[in-house]
Amino acid sequence: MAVTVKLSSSLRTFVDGYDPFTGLTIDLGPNETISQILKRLGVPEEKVKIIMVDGRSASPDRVLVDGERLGLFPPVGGG
Amino acid sequence: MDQNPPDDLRAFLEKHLIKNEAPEKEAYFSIKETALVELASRRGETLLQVMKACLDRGLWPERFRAHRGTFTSKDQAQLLQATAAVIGAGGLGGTLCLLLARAGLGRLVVCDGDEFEESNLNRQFLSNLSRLGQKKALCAAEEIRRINPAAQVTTYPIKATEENLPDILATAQVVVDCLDNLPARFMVEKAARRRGIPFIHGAVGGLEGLILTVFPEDPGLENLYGSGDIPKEKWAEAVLGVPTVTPTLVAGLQAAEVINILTGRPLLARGRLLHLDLTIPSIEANSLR
Repeated sequence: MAVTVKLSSSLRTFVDGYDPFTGLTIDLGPNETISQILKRLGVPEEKVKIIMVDGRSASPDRVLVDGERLGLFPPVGGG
Repeated sequence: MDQNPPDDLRAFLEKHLIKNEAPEKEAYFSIKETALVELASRRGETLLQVMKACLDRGLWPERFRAHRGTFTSKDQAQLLQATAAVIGAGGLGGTLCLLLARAGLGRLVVCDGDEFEESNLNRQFLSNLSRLGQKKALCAAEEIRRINPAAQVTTYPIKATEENLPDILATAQVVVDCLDNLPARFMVEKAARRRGIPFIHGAVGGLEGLILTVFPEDPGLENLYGSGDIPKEKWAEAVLGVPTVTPTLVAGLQAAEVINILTGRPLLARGRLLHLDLTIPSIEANSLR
């Protein structure tokens, strides 16, 4: 049971050696939520503004399922 | 001389048409700008009207000839008659103005209250050393007219506010969000909903960018950012800056979406957040359901 986690822009600075090409492969605990994964990775939840699971928006209390792909974005607003 | 405009137009055009061979298709005809300018003056019409009259007859102004094949002369005529509002004329908006002028938008409304400063030089295509201290919106208008004198430009060298936005958007068919702060983006989105026109959001941080197209009935920025009450230092660009190439690419996607909307083509970013990532590289569509 594993998920792929893709971090976007400034969130990458929280995970040492993060490789944007591969993302992270994380073993999944039973009924583990996105919030719990964030805690495990050391990514502060308040820094995450947009959450996508398999390309669809999701909330932090969403339980992840084997094989899913989690995309995490900080607020982005430059122009 | 032009007692009978339609016949005169035909006779005039016949003398000035350039025949272009098209591979595996019938030859087509184009006409140079100098002839269009002369024709406009003879007929007492604007350059824009004359360009449209040519396109209505399937004749391409030389400046748009390279659009043929991807766009029809009817598409091009539609762009000539269209109005887009660009709010913010910095990294995103400056490039967008240049692209839309070259695409042949007939009318552009440009709003930005800022002046160019040195820290803009890395990415804002309208900025240069001699323009430091000048109003971005006025520089945008100057550049648009230099590219296509047929384009009409209305400038608002002031900050967009709830009070002035109804006026700024009054004639626009689409508004493009090229701002750099969320409260203003929310304000423009709200004004676009009120006016009943689509809103194209673009944002940049580091080597990544986001694009979302919001029609009046669609969920919008609130769906992405909540209330929008996020301190400036928490934004990606506060950590990663805004390097040269990212805003230009995001503006390119926003311009493509403007053209899609105005010519009735399938949209890139309605109901899905496009995420451009130049570190991998990829453009990913994320469904917002």
